[in-house]
Amino acid sequence: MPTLPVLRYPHQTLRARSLEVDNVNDEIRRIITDMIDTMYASPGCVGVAAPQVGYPLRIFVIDVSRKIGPKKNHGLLALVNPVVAYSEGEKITREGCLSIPDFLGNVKRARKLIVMGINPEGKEVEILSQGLEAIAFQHEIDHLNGVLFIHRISSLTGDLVRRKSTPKDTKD
Amino acid sequence: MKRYFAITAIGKDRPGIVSGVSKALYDLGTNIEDSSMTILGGEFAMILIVSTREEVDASDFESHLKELTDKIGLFIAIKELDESDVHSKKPSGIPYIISVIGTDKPGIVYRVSNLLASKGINITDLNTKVIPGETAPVYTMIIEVDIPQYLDVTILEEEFSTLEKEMAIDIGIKEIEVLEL
Repeated sequence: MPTLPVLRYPHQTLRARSLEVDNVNDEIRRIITDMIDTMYASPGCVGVAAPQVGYPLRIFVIDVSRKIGPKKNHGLLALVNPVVAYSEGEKITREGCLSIPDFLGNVKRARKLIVMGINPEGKEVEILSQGLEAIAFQHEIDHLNGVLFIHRISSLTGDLVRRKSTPKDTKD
Repeated sequence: MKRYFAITAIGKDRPGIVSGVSKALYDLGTNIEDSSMTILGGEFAMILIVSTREEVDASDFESHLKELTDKIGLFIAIKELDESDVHSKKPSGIPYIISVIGTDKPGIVYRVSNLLASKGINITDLNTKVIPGETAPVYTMIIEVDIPQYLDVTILEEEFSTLEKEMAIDIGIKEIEVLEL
């Protein structure tokens, strides 16, 4: 299982808008598989966006069940060209990011959303998501637009904290 | 080899404190690694972690900052740090937020923090504010703590609940949801 090196801020690719994928072919599916392997190889990690691993393409993978178990989420998901069709509510979560390894930030995002996109089989899908999974969707979609969580915090004292420990491996 | 110092400074708030201190540090060739500054009760307080060349020591800071401390009455303390302390990432427990609210009275901070200390719980952040209440001022305190993995949080909740009754305050505790992405 090839895992990919993760780019760190301030790498240019992390700040650029990623490109739409024209055709979900075997090459794209191979990238998705590598992204999934990279996510599972990182302790506690529940999402990876393609630009984080050097592909400026609108693709992400998430698996929030790694953190919260099978309830209230869809488990492993890979989405191409995702678009938020609807969002509501507010929720503050402390987010960490593989590309900014030393800090965590409190970010306010929508609590519930509908995301449309293309799955790895090339089919259009519509996903209703809430809670932590919805937060993960928004964090990853931000990556595709060159936005990182540090751009969304308003106070360094309250909202950005230095990591006090390395993330636990929630896999086992 | 770089050396590391913690500098704390406090003085009556006015424009120019940050620029004055940071100019003195810049002139000394130090790099500000990290800092926290805030204003409380009209006093401006700063903590700075700086790195310097090996030949710089605490007395150099004092001489470079003297003009400024004399001019604007800043109290300054300088402490040398080990590099390992500056960069250490302590392995630790699970982050929780504890909120304490109640009619202002002496002993709230002491009783709550004493309970935490007796359990070996480390406070990583603490902020307080007194807000106007209907009859008397209300004291609010938000504490961030690291609770060791082995500690049973329900026992802590029970002891908090005893303290709540004794002091007529409300204490809430909740785990901080951390999402690794």
